[in-house]
Amino acid sequence: MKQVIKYGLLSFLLLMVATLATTAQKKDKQQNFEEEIIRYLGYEEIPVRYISLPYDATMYHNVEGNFMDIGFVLLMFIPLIFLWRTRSRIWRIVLFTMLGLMWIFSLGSSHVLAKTGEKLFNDGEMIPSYLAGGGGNFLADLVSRVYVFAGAIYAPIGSLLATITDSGDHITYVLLLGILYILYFVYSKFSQQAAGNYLLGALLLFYCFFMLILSAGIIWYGFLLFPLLYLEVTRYAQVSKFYKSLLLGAGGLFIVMSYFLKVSNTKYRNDIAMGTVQPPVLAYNFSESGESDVYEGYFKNIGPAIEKINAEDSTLIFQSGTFTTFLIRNNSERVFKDGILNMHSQMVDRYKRKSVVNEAMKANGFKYIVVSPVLHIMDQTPDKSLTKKFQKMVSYLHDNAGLQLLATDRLVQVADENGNSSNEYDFLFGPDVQVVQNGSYAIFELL
Amino acid sequence: MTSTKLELHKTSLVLKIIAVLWMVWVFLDYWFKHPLYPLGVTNTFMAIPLMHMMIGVIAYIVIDQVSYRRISWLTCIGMFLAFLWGGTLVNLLLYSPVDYSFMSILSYIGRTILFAIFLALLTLSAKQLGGFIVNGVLLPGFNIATSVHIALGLCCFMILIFIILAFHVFHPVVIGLILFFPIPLFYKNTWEDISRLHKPIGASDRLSIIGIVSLILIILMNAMTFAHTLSPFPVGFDAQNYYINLPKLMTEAGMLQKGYQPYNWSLLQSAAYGLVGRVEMLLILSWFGLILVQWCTYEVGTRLMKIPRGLVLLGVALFTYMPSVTTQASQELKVDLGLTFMLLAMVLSGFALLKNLRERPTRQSMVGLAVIVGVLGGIALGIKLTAVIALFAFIAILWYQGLGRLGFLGVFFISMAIVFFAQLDTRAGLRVYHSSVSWLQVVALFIGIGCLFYAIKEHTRKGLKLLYLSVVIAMSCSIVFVPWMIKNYTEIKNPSFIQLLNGTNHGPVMNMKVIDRNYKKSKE
Repeated sequence: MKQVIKYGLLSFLLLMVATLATTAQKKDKQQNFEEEIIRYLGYEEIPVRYISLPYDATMYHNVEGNFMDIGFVLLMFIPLIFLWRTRSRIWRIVLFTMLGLMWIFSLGSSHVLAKTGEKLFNDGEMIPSYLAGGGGNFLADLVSRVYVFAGAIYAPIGSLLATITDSGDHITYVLLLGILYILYFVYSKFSQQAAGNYLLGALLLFYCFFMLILSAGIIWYGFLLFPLLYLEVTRYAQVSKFYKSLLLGAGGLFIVMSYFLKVSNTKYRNDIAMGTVQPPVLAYNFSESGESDVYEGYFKNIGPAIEKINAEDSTLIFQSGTFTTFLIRNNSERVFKDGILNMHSQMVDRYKRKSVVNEAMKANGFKYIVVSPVLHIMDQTPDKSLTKKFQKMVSYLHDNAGLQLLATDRLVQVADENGNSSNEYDFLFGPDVQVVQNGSYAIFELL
Repeated sequence: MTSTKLELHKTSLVLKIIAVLWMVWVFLDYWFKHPLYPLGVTNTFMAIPLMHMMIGVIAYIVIDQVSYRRISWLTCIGMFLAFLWGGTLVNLLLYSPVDYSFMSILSYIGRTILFAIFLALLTLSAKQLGGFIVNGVLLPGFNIATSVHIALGLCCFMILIFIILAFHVFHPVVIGLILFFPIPLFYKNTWEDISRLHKPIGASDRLSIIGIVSLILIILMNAMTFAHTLSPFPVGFDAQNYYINLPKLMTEAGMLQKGYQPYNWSLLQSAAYGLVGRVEMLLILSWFGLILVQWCTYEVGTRLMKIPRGLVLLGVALFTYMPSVTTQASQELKVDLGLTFMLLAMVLSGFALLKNLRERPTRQSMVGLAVIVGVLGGIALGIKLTAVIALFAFIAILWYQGLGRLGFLGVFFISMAIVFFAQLDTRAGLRVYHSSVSWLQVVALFIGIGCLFYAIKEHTRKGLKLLYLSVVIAMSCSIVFVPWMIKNYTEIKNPSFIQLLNGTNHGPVMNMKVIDRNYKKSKE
C-alpha cells in the first residue's frame, strides 16, 4: 500500500513539475467541433466542463432530448455508495467536498427553466430578476434560489479558472488524474470484496476516466458503463435495508416516469402525444398504405420531389441537417453533406452574389439543395456561430431567381392582398412571418 | 452469496439525512429540467397503460401461482407478444383513424411471429456456432456464459458476411446458408435448446417479487420499443443518414460500401435484410442489440458479480428504462447497443480468464480465453473504434490481478500515451483545450513503462506470462480487424495508420479549392 501511495504521488508530482515547466500555447478555436460536438460537453471553463459532466448529463444542462436522458438513479446513488463504503471520517469529508464542488460547479455554470421553457442562465442577473418578477411555482422558485446560492459561490471560482484556463490549459488533465487517483485510492483502500468485484470496480474507474476525457459528453460512446453501473447500484441492496428502500422508491418512480414518457411518445419541443406507435407506422402495418405513405407521414409533401431526385442518376445533392438521406437513391455517392453549413458559408463569402454561388454549385454538379429549417436550433455556442451561418443560408435561398422550391413541410401564415390570412407551405423566415409548423426539410432545385 | 464480503457500513443518522436530502434535491432538479415527464402522463392515451397493466397483472399471477415463480423462455416470449399486440391494438382500435381490417390485424400478428422466429433462430444458430468454437475448438469442457457463445457466433457471421460482400456473392441462398448452417450441423444441441424452452431459465431457485416485477417491466419496454421497428423507415437522424442507411445501401448494391468507418454490426443488418427482403429487418436487428445487452447484463450480474437474480433484473430494468436506451432501441436505432453487447461479452470472457488465472491455469485454457477476449474486442473495434478503451481497460485489470496496482498503473499510463499519440482526442476536437497533451503523452509513456518495468523486474515470471497473454489478445484482436484495414487501403491507397483505421469519407469529395477550380473551369 505504501508503495502505491509513493508511486502515485511521485507520478502526480512529475506531472505537476512538467505543468510548471511548460509554457502555455493557445490554439485556435475549432468552430466545427464547437458547434457539432462540444455542445455535449458544455462551454464553461475547461476543467468545469469535465467535473460537472456527470451532473450536467443528468440534468440536460448541455444538450436536451430523450436520446441524452440517462435518468436520475445513478446520480443519486453512485456518490452515496462511495460515501457509505468509506470507513474513515477524513476520507468521507474529502469525498463529500468533491461531491459539493461538482454540485456547485454544475449549478453555478448552468441554467434553470422559466415557466415558458426559456433558459435562465446563472449569471447573477437572469434568475434573480425572474424571481423578482414573480417566478414560477413554490418548488420551482426554491430550486432557482438554490441555483442562485450556488452561482454566488461559483462566480469567483469561475473567474479565477477563466484566467488560468482560457481557451486551452495545462491543468485539466492533471486535475482529473488527481480526482481519479483519490477515487481509486478510496475504492481500493476500503474494499474487502471478492476479487472479481474488486477488479470490476477498477475496470469501471479506468473506463470512466477515458470516456470522460474522450467522449466529449456523448453518452452513447460510453454505453458499456450504464449496465455495469446499474448492477453496481443494485448490488448494495443486499446488505442494507435502508439503502434497499431508497433504491426501490427512486427506481420505481423512475421506471413509472420513463414508462409514461415512452407510451405517450411525447416529442421534445412538441407537446403532441403520438401513441405507442406513431400514426404513419400504424397505418403502414394495418392499412393499405405503402412505404411512400410512411415517408409522407413524416415529411409532408416530399413524395414528388424525392421521385424527381431519384429519377436521375448522377446529379449531386447539397444537403444540410435534414433527415432525408435515406430516401435518396445511391445517396452515398450523390449526397454531399454540409452538416453545419461550413462549405456554404465559405461559398457565400467567396462569391458574394447569389447568382455566382448558383453557378459555382452547378459547375460542381449540384442540382438540388436540401436544407433543414430548424438547423439553428441545435446551436449552443456562446457566439451563435451556427445561427449566423444558418441566417446566411436563409438569405441565400430567399428570393433567389436561380432556385425553385420543390417541396417543404414548413407551414407559415401568409396574408393576401385583402388582408385575409391562410396557411401555406413555404420556406419563409423573418420577424413578420407567423410560423404554424417549423417543418423539417426544404428541397430546392438549381435552375 | 457474497453479502458478507460487501462493504456498506452502518450509516450514521447524519449520513442518512445527507443521503435523503441529496436524493430529494436530485429528483427536484431533474423534474424541473425534464418537463416532458409530466407532459407524458397527461398526454398518454390512458387505455394503453390500462391494457399493459392488465396483461402485467395476469402475467404476475401466472408466474407466481401457476409456475411457482419460475420462468421459462416460452413465458417470456408469450408475455412479449401479449404486450406488443395488446398495446398496439388498443392504440389502433381506440385512438387511430387508420382504416384497418380483420385480415390486416391477422397479417400484423403473423408478421410479428415470423420476425420473432427469425430472431430466435438467429440466436440459436449463433449460440450453436459459438458453443462449438468454445467447447469444440478452444476450450473443451469449459463452462462459459451463454451470451459469450452467442457473441462469438455472431462474430463468425459478421466475418463471413464481410467475405461474401467483398467477393460480391451476396445472394439470399448464400446468406441463408451462412446464418443458419449451424442449426442442422449441430441439430442435437439445437433440439436440446428448443426442448428446454418451456423449462425454467437458469438456477432452480425461485424469483423474488422484485425479480418478477422487474422482468415483466423489462419485457413490457422491449415490446414497446419493438413496435417502433415494424416500419419501413427509421425516425432517428443518425439512423436515416448512417446506421440504417448504410446496410440498406450494402444490400441493394450487394457489396461493401466505399468509405465509412468499420461497420461490423451493419453487416449483420444487411444480411438479415438481404435474406428477408424487408427494411423492417434493418431496424429489428438494431433493436435486437438491446435484448442481447439485457441477457449479457443478467449474466454479468449473476455469474460475475454474484448478485441475487431479483436484484440483477432490477438493475437490467433500470438500464432498459433509461430514455436514452429506449430511444436508441426505437428511434435512433444505431449500433451502440450491439457494440455494448460485444463489450459486455468481452468483459464476461475476460473475467473468466482472470478467474482461470487465479484458480487452475492451463496453457490451453489461458490462451483459449485470451483469444476469445481478443476476437470479441476486435469485432467490437470493427463496430466502433471507441471499443479500444474497453480493451485497454481489460488489459489493465489483467495486469492488476497479476502484478498488483503497479501493473494497473503501468497499463493505465501507457494507454493514456497511446490514446494521445494516436490522436483519439482530436476526433472529438478536444486537443485544442489541453495544451498539456504534448508533454503529458511523453510523461505518461515514461511513467507507464517505468511502472511495468519495475513490476516485471520484481515478478519476472508472472510479468512475462501477462505480457504473453496481452500479446495473444492484441494479435487475435488485430486478426479480426485487419480485413477492414485492407478494405480501407484498397480505397485510399495510403498506408497512414490513422486513415487505415478510420477509412475514407463517403460521398462526393468537395472543398473550397475543388469548388473554385471547377467553377473557374466552367467559365473558361
